[in-house]
This record gives sequence, structure tokens and C-alpha cells, in this order.
Amino acid sequence: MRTLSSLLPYVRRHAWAIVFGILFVFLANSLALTVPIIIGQTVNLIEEGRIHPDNLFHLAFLAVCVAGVAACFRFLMRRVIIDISREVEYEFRNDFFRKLQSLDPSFFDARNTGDLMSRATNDTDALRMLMGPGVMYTANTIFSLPIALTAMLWLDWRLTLVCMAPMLVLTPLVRYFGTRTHRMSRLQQDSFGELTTTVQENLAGIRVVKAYRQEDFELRKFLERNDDYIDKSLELARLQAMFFPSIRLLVGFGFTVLLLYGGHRIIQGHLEVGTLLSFLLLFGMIVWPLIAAGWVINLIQRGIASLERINAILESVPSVTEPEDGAAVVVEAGPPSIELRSLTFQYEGTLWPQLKDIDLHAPPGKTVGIVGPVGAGKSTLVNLLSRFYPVPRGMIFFGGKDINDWPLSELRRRISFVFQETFLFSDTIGWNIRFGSADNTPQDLVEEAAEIAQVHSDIGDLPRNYSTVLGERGVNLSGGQRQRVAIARALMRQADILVLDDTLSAVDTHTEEAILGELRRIMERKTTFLISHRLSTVATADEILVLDEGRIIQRGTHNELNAQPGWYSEMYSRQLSERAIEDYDEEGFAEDPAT
Amino acid sequence: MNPAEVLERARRERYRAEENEALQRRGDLRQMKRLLRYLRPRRKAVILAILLSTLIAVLTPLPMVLIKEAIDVYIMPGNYGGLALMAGLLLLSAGMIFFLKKTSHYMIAKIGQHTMRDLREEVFSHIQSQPLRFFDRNPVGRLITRVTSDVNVLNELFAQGVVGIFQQVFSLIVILGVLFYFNWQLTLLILPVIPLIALASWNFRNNVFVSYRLTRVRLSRLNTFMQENITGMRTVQANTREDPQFRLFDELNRAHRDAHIKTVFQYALFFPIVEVATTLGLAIVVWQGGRMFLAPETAAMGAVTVGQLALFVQALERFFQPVKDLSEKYNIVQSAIAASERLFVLLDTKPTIIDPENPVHPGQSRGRIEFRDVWFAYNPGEWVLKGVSFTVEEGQTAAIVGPTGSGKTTLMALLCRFYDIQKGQILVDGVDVREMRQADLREKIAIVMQDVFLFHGTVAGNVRLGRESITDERIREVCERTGFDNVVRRLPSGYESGVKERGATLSTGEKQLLSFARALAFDPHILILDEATSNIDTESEQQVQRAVATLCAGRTSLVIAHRLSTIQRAHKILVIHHGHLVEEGTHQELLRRGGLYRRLYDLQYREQAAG
Repeated sequence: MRTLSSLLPYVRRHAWAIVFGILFVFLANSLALTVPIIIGQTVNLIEEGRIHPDNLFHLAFLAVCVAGVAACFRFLMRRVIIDISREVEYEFRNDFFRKLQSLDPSFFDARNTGDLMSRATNDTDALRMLMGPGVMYTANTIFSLPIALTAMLWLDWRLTLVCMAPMLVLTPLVRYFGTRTHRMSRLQQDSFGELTTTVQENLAGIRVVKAYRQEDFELRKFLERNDDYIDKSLELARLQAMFFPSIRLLVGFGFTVLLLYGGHRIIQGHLEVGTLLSFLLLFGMIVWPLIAAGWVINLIQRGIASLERINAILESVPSVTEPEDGAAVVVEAGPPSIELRSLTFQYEGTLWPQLKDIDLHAPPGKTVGIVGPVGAGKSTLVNLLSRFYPVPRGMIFFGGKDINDWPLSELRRRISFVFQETFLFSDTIGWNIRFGSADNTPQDLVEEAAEIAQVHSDIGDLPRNYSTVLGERGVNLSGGQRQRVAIARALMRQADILVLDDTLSAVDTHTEEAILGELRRIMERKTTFLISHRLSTVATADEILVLDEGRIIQRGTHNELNAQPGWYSEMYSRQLSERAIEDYDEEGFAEDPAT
Repeated sequence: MNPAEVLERARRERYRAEENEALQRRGDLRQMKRLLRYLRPRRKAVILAILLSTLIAVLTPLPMVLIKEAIDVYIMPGNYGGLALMAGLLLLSAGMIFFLKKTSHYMIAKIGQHTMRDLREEVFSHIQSQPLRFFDRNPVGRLITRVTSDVNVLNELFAQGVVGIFQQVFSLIVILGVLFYFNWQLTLLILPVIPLIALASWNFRNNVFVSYRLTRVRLSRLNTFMQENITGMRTVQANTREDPQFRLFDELNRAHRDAHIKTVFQYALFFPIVEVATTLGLAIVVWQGGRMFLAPETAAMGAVTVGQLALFVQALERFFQPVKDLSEKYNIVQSAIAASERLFVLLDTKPTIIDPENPVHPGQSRGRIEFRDVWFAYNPGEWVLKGVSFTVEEGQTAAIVGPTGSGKTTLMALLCRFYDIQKGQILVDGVDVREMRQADLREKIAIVMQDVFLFHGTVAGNVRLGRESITDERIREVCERTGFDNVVRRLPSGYESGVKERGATLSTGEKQLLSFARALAFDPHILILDEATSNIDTESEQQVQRAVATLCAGRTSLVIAHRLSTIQRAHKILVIHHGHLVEEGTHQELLRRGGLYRRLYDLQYREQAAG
């Protein structure tokens, strides 16, 4: 019940429509059920010869009119109720998406995308079924059963009781099938999952499979899973093959009883043949609501389970929040100076701090290089500047203010961030570069940014230049090109602070130098944080921090660090010789088979 | 209009074009013919299923006819005995229909499932027979979809499509025939209702088909957008783009909702129309039938009985059921055709690396390798190997050395004929690898890769893989010789301990040892080894070194070497740089030469020598 109560705000928003929808259900049903009675009574009149042939038309016409009006209400009922369910589905999706946007990276780190997607699609769909068909068929059953039963009891209560007896089993029967079907299809789904895993494993390990000639063995393994899936599917099919025929059989029982007892009543003179006809028709109309009752119960159960899964997300609390008096905080315009005061940070659920006692002062315009081995905490450090993870108070200051007091959007607006892993949307390149800058930014600025990031001429080579769509059905860029597009995107933002988190790793050294040459001009005006594996990238920084296991082990300018023994100078000489080998002279070798 | 609005407009244009394209696409019926071929092995079951369906269709009107007979012949004259008989028959027919339906539904499902099993097997083995180049180009996710979901869509076609449609149409005809038989005049009178229904259904089918496609396109767009925003959330947040992204999402969400609401409209309209049409039929029956009954002479269209009226009234109720079903089945057929198109494209992709028609059977020699002026490119014009020639005599170890990206790994893949070279020759025991059966070639070779792939299963299973001739004894022996038994001893259930893909239970060094044991168990003539570079702790480092020595002993070995010990032990060192073989010789020879090897040695190996 507590789960269902979370639906209340959505229901309240459509309260009137729901009331009208249910009214339409009522009207449609009561009218539709009069048609069999009109038909049956007409046959009675005909059979007894109590009506003049010319008057028959009026009765027939009446039946059509009633059916017509009932049809109008049925049309309205479906329109109103099913539309509401689509409306609620839409609102839920929007709320879900909005919620996701407010959650911080640690939320996404802990969950896989597939699970979130399944909540956004399968679960909202189950919810939609609950709100639409669930409500409609429940109302249908609630109204049409009593109405039809009253009519039948009024016509002949003895016959009603006798022929309805077998039908009492119908709802539990549907329930039984529904539950078992649900359980069986879960088993079938699991088996399908295993089949998928087997295929996935085979494809991921295809090199081993081929090298060790495991094709036949793998095929046998696959066939085993394939057969298991077929077995599960057939078990389900056996159940489903029983379902509708069983209902028909039950209805067949009903008809037999109706014929036998009804015939007896007619022969006895207690019942007219037209009334028997009304019964035959009404009986057909009563079957569906009874089936629906069983079906709806399953549907509601599933809907509630899904609602719980959606609520689990909607109720999650972001660990990075706006300051309470956020709007009231006044932040100065212009580039803020940045200060870290013995910054120590630990990810939730880990045993050791990722960063320990980091001190740093970065006045506007300063370039800070950050280097160190994998896992030293470099990315964590810059991610904290944007408050992607909760930052303890009193450790990071922007313009003299604790960053926890900065309105989140204001803080992030000041920072252009290029991540280690480039993310581009499957939209046009132009749109991707503009992502994050003001709507009215002119096109020349886009091209200028692309020029600086050394990707303008690459874009010029694409079929539709800046209007080329990236992604699944569009063009795919190489890793280096993607990184350069991301740099162009960051440059467009014109923010005071620039963070480049190892963003040139897939770019070759020569292009990197070209980009850095252009960037240095811009970096003079910005506070820049530069993470790189190539030490040549950070060589011109005002200060270089060498991190290892979360601590600063060395700091200083390139010349200072290179002069002292330690991680930096060792790594630098190593990289220099690697560079030398890369440029190794290879004269006298053919570059083409023709030569 | 600012530039952002221009982009917005372009996006909407693009979406509209996408939607139009989806709406215009129609399945090619020729695909159906090819699909039906898969039913051939189950010809008998299919014929039986069709016979059963025919029988069901014939029996469908039986209960109504029995009720009619009961009313006319027994109830009206007051014959109890006959009435009981009719009731008995009614019950019997209900039981028969139940049995027939249950059997035929299950049978059809079985035909569908078995056909799917065969098709799935065909698709899977076809994918497996493809060369590596195919896997480089096709993402794993797409191939999985082909084997799993696409085949499943086809099942629906078999399970409820083909036979279902046949049965529905046939039962419609039978009911109509029965009505004609009992009272053709009255049947003719209700016939005009049918075109009305047909028209409504045709319209409904078309409209629903259109909105169905539209909802599919919009839903997949909505899902893609959501998926991208989840994976790229940090980018969105870093750029403070939450609000604009939400507006875009809202737009897509709204469009999806509207497409559905259009579908709802179609359904809301169609079902009531069918209901009204049914009532129209009923009205005609009581009106005209009543006239015939009351005044047969004036009606001038023959007589009618009460039972017949009952028959017509019931038949009309059943009449329109098939019409409703047929309209909905159309969607199933369409999406099945689309899935089969994708499958057939895959099945028509011929493997590019195939066995020769008259393969040469390699003789008794034990693994001499020769590369003769080998040129190879993954993509035309981008040469990865440029005229590489060398020989490795049987039983010798050759170490391949060079900076990253120089073509070392490619060289090894070519020896296994994972790719075909563009120029030159690769000979194993004097035979061109292209003139042997792939199985014969790979029988001679075992390859150990740096990134060890473990299959879901046990430790023993990962050593043996599918080769059942490798006994437990043998597994124990090779594990001892490679030093992996020390690791196994620590595992909870020894050789039967479970491991997973990219196995988390074993460290990198341990996995490496396992893959050595695997290679040793297969006892190849030629060993290809891509030595792991890093992430190995010192303890396993020494074990690995010993194991490498064991492995290489007595067989031809080609090792991408990172460890000085391996290099120094090799009979020959091949130095590869930018696709060229730049130096060749023993460790001492090359050091004296002072070329690239010398430089690499100074940079990378001297430390190892010292340490």
C-alpha cells in the first residue's frame, strides 16, 4: 500500500479524467448489456406471434441505436483511460530522467547502465499497464459483472444460478495459469540469459577458440544451452497451449448446462425460447470480465513490483547537493584563485584514502601539471574540483570560499573539463562541440575552437563537415579525433579554469605538440590543470605535482624536478629514449610491395 | 534565429526523415519463401498441424449447430431424451475441440521451436567459421543479437503467424458455409455487413501498422538518448547541461507518448466499430428473420425456425473474432521479415579464409617456419608488415623484439592463418599455410596470449578445453611441469575449482601459468608465446621464467619476448620495427652491432640484467 501511495500525485493530476473514464466504462457496459435482452425479447415476441412484422424494424433499429451509443462510450473509455496511462508513463519517465541528472557519479559507478535502462523501460511499461489496462479492465469487471448478473437473475434466477456455477472456477483458473506462466517465463528468460552468456563468451574468446581448434566443442556447448532453452520454451508453450482451450472448455460446460436446464425449463413452460437466446448472448459477454479479473490481478502484482524498483531510484539521495543557502551566496565574477588545504579524500566503501594531505595554491593564470603512476589519485584530485564527489568542508577553496558554499551550477560553469574517457553524443559534430556553450555562440567560434584542437581539417574531410552525425548509424571517429573534438568542446566554454585529464593519450606526439602550442596562448589567461602520462606535455607548467599513492612525492618546475633524482627524472629520461627509438632511422626499407 | 536553433531544426528534420524511412520500409516477401525452406525437415509435422487446424475450423460451428438442432427438433416439440443426447454431444464436441486445440497449439509451438534451434545452430556455426577480420569489424553485441533476439522474433512468426492465419480464415469460411446451408436467404441479407468490417479492418491495419512503426522508431530513439545520458552523465554535469538535455529528453518522451496515443485512437475506434457492425447483423437477423417467421408468404424469402435465429445470433458473435486477430498478426509478420533480412545478410557472408579443395597433408617434420617476403595490411594501403623474411629451424626458439606497435603480434596471427597475407608466403614444414587445412595447421600450433582468456568452468576444464583425450593424469603432469600446481593446491577445490571469464579468482601471473599448462597439454610442434609484460609479482615472475623454459624445450618456439632471460636463451632474435625486420642474430651479435637492439637493450633490459 505504501508503494501504491507514491502513485497518488500522478493520480491526483488526472483525477477528473479518471472519474470520467470510469463513468464511461459504466455507461458503455450497461448499454451494451441491454442489446442481448432486446434481441431475446424480440425473438420471444416473434415466436409467440405477438408482434406485427412491420414493427420489427423499430425494435431492430432500437438495438442498433443502443449499440451505437454504447460504442461511443467504449471509444471514449479507451481514449480517456489508456491516454492517461500513457500520460503517466511519460511523467514517470521524465521524473526518472530528472532524478538521474541530479545524482552524482558515485551513484552511476555503483550501478550498471543496463539495470537503470531496464527500470526506465520495462518497469515504466509494467506501471503503464497497471494504470491503463489494469484500471480499465478492473472497472470493466466491477461494473459489467453485477449488471449482467442482475439482468440474468431478473430474467430467470434459477437458470442463472445453474449456468454460472461452472464459471466460478474461471477466475482462479486464470490466476493459476497466470502465476505459472509468469514463473515459467522467468525460467525461460534465465535460460535465454545463459544462452546469451555462452554466445558472448564464445565471441569474446574467439581467438582462443580458433587457435585451439575448439569450434566443435564450443558448438556442442552452445547446442546444450540451445536445447535447454528450447525445452524451457516448450514447457511454457505447453502451458500456454492449455490456457485458452481450457477456458473454452469451461465455457462449453456452461453452454451445455444452459441448454440442458434451459431446455427443461422451456419444455416445462417456465421459460421462453427468446430468453434462452438472451442467456446465450449474455453468457458470452460475461466470460471476458471473468478472464480479465484473473489477468488483472497478475498485472497489478507486476505493476507494484515495478513501481518499487522505480521508487528505489526516485528516492535515492544525491551525495553532492546544492548549498542550503545557495542562491544567497554571492560569488565574485572573474577567475577565482584555487586553494587546497591538506586535502584528504576517501571514496565511500573503500578502506584507504585516495588522496592524502594535498596542499596547493593556484592563483588565476597558473598552470599545474599533475603526473604519477596509474592509480596515484590524479583523476580523483581534478574530479573533486568540480565536486563530482562529496568534498569535506575546509579543504578546497575557490576565491577564498569553501567550494561547498558555491552554487553547484555556478562552480561548474567556471570549469572546462576534458575527461580521460571522451564521451560524444550520437548527434552532429557541430552540436557536440557546442555542447556546454551558450546557444547564440556564432559558428566561427566553433571552427576556431576546432582549429586550435587540430580537428578542423579532419572535420572538413567528413561527408557533411560539421553536420556529420556521429555514432551507430553515422560516422565513427578515431580515438584521437574524439579526444580532439572533446578539447574543442571544452575550449568553447570560455571558462576560467581548464582541466585536461590525460586527454591527449590517443593523439600522436606531433599533433599533441601542435595542440599544446596553440593552447599555451589560451592557458596564459586561465588556471589550468594538466594531467598527462607524457612528461613533455607538462614540462612548461608553472608547477608540477608528482603523485604516488595519493601523496605528493615531488613538486616543482620541470627544471627543478629533472635536476633531482627521483620518479620524475627517471621517467623523463626513459621517455626521451623511447622517443628516440620511435624516430629510429629506417632508411633503405621498402614502404610498398611494388618497390 | 541563433545557431543553436538552426541545429535544433536540423535535428528535427533528421528525425522526420528517419521516421519516414521507417514507415516506407516494407518487408520483402521473397524472404518468406526462404524462411519456409526451414520447415522442410519437419514437413510431416507441418502437414499434421495444418490438418488439425482444418479439423478445428470445421468443428468450430458444431456447438452452435447442436444448440440450433436442440431448439428446433427437441425443445420446441418437448422431447427430453433428444435434448439430453444433444447436451451430451455438445459436451463431447467441447471436449474434442479442447483436445484438438491443445494438441495443435503445442505442436505448432514445437515446430517453431525446433526450426529455431536449427536456424540458431546454423547462425552460430556460421559466425564461428568466419575469419578474425569479421570479428574485428562486427561488434560482439550485434552478433549476439543475431543469434539470440533476431532468431526469437522469427519464432513468433512460426508459432502464431502462419498456421494461425490459416486457421482463422478457414473457420470464417466454414461458419459462412454453415449459415448458407441452413438459411441462404438470411445469410445473403447479413452479407453486406462484411465489407463494412473488411473496410474498417483494412483501415485499422494500415493505421496501426504506421503508428506501430512510429512508436518503435521513437522508443528506440528515446532509449538511445537515455542510455547515452546515463553513460555520459559526468559530461552533462561538467558542462551544466542538465536543463537543455532534459528539454531534449522531454521532447523525445512527448513524441513517443503522442505516437502511442495515435495508436490508442486506432484501437479505441476499431473495436467499437466491430461491435456496432455485429449488432447491425443481429438487428438484420431479428428484423428480416422475424418477418420470415411471422409471415413466410409475404416475406417471399422462405421460412425460418427459432433455432435458426439462435444459430445466426450466435454465429455473428463468433464471426468477427478472426478479423480482429488478423489485423494484429500483420505486425508480427512484418517484424519477422525484418529480422530474417538481417539474418540472411549474415548467412550470406561467405568466410574469406577457407580450406583449399585439395589440401596438402603436412609430413613428419616437426615445425620449421619460414616467412618469405611477407606483406600484410589490415586496411588496404596501411602496411603493417613490409617484406618480412626469416626462417626458424625445427626445435629452435626465436625471440621477437621491437617497440610497441611494430607488428610483432600480427606476425604471430599470420602464422596461425587468422588473416591471409597480401603478398609473399608463409611456410610451415615447407608447405604454404594456405595449402593446408586450417585444422591441420592449427593442430601443429599452440598459442599463448598475453591477455589470458578463461572460460566459465573449472581449472581442469580450462587446461583441457574440449580435447577429451587429455586425461586428468596429464593435466596434473603439465601443471606440475609449469609450476601451476602450487597455485592449484591453494584453491578450495583443487582442479575442480571454478573460474570465470577474465577470471577474477586468479592473479595475472597465475592465469599466465594456467595458459602455459594449457599449451603444454596440447603438446604442439610449434609454440607461439606472447610474454606478459607487467603486473606479475616477483614470486610468480620466476615461476613464469621456469615455465617458459619448460615450454620451449624441444619444440619450435616463436616468442614475443619482454624478459631478458628469454631473449638470451633464444637461438635467434628477430628485431621488428615499423613492419620491417631490421636486425637478426644472437644476443651477443646484435649487441656488438650497436643498432636498434642495442638501444632497446640499454633502455629496457639492462635494468633486468642488473636486477
